[in-house]
Amino acid sequence: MSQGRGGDVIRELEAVFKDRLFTEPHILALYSHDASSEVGVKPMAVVQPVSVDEVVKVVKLAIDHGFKIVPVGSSTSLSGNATPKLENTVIVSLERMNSIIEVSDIDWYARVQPGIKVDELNLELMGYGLQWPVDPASSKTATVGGVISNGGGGMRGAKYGPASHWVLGLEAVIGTGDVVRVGCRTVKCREGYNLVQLFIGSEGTLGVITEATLRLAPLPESFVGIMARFGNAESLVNAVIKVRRDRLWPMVTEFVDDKTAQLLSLEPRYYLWIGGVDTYAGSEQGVLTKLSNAIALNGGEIIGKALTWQDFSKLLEPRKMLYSAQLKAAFGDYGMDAFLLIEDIAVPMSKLPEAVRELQELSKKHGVKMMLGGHIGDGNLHPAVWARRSDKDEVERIMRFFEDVGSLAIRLNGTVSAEHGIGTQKKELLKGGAIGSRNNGRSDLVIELMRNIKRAFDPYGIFNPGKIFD
Amino acid sequence: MMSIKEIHEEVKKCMYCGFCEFPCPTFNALRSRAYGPRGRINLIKALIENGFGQGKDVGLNSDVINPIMTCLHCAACDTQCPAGIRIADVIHGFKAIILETILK
Ligand SMILES: Cc1cc2nc3c(=O)[nH]c(=O)nc-3n(C[C@H](O)[C@H](O)[C@H](O)COP(=O)(O)OP(=O)(O)OC[C@H]3O[C@@H](n4cnc5c(N)ncnc54)[C@H](O)[C@@H]3O)c2cc1C
Ligand code: SF4
Ligand code: SF4
Repeated sequence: MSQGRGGDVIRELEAVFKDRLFTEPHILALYSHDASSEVGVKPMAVVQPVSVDEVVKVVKLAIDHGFKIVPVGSSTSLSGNATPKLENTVIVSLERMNSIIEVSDIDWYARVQPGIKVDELNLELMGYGLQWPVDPASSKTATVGGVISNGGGGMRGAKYGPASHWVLGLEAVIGTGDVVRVGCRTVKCREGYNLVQLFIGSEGTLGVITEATLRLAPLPESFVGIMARFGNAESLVNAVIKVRRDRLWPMVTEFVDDKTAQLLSLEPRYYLWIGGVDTYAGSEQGVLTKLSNAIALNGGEIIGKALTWQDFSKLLEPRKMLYSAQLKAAFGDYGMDAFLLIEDIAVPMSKLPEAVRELQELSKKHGVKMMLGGHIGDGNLHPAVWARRSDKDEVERIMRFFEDVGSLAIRLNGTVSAEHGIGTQKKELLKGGAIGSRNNGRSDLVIELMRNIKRAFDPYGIFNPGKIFD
Repeated sequence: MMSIKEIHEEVKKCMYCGFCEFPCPTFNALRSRAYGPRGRINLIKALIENGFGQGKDVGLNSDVINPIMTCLHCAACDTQCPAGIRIADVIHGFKAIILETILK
């Protein structure tokens, strides 16, 4: 784009967005990367739309002037998903589109704008006795639009599953500047191809989501939970399997390994948190006994029991400190030169002991420091590793560890990305590893299908280029 | 008062998680990244790294100064930060340096 033409673009954006257009370099820098280590570039402008009409206008300007658009929520992605890579990018930041449009406590749905944060929404829904049960550890900051676009999940995933289970309909502006509304307000909805699911996990590459109709669940009437510890990963997983065999269905099933426990100021053992099993008022003690038996039978030691969500929340405190502990460990070792990478694989539950063991071996093999925790109820593991940024050898070892972890997940019939998405950092793992391994090495077949889908939604290649695949 | 060096040591710890924005009254009133703690901390980081307060003209303007100067020092953000940054103190310290520099 020539200088003069660039000036035209800014003037035209200003006519639409007025004081919600930013071109000051320090402000642009705030939108030039996300929470991952991916290095981005300063975009040429940031706009903060307040309506779908304004989003349509910026998309039409992108078509006319040939600039790119990266939609962002809170930029807390961990794989470079929200990091702009090209200078001729306009960031469309949805932070001001944060209203709840409607809540139906009969039909159990909420219509919301994409920039509302998950915890803001759930605080409001508590008043209705309802919840949107997609709760990434970043729920305080992650926006509904970002969670949907990353296909995120969280602690309650063991029972409720990730975002893909909890979106009924979407309104989005696609790359032609048209507004499409896909999906329904009912849970059953068979209207041809399921285009709602295409948007989920599409990482801003198909359009800008401007409204979401979310499926809601009732908040449990009563609650029980347990924190326990074990001598090894096998016993811990066996306890979780026993809980399943007993037909108990917990909302939260989290764990950390022995080394991580130490960094959380716990004795070096394997820790398990199980909570939110279906109960009704009066049945709590019975369920608690069943849970306790499953733990005791597998050599576990119960450290705490809870009969309310508030009490369980207290038991969960060390698990909630995982990110803090990871940062502390990384900064403690390398000060400000620390580089922290949080992996995100999932394996079938039956393969978890093997996965934990092999991850520990891989960290030894590559000589990298690792903390391991995860959402064990859905097989999602988050090994976190850190290095000294200026130490090329150590950073390289981390990258090799990262690749081996991806291969391990594939070998165990799991996935290279459970909830954080592909962004730029996992493109190779997706193409060569995950998709290739399931298609006799023919990843091109599946990637080409994805490219064609992108072309259908975004014929001018405007949205978040270079993400998921090239 | 915190020195530029002390402030820089603190702001460098930011991991961009955005947890601090949730309770911030100015962020919630304006819903604009620069007007929340994450934005302020990273504006300060960029200014210091560009040489501000160390004799370099970084072209300070109201787009950058206003977000920093509107912090209320309520410290609601501090308890949220997993990196343990003393956010309110840092912003307070940096405001003093801005005033000192402008008044010089
Ligand atoms: C400490 C920490 C813990 C985390 N824990 C979890 C976890 O437990 N589970 C989990 O799933 N993730 C987790 N994450 C990752 C991240 O927070 C989530 O993926 C979150 O959903 C991203 O939301 P966001 O608003 O920050 O989105 P952003 O990072 O801003 O954007 C995410 C993607 O969606 C696109 N996008 C955003 N808004 C829109 C829109 N309106 N229309 C179209 N595209 C859009 C962007 O282009 C980008 O590709 C964690 C991150 C951190 C820093
Ligand atoms: S101290 Fe400043 S940045 Fe922190 S919450 Fe209060 S107003 Fe926001
Ligand atoms: S909570 Fe701390 S680390 Fe996270 S964005 Fe705010 S200042 Fe940075």
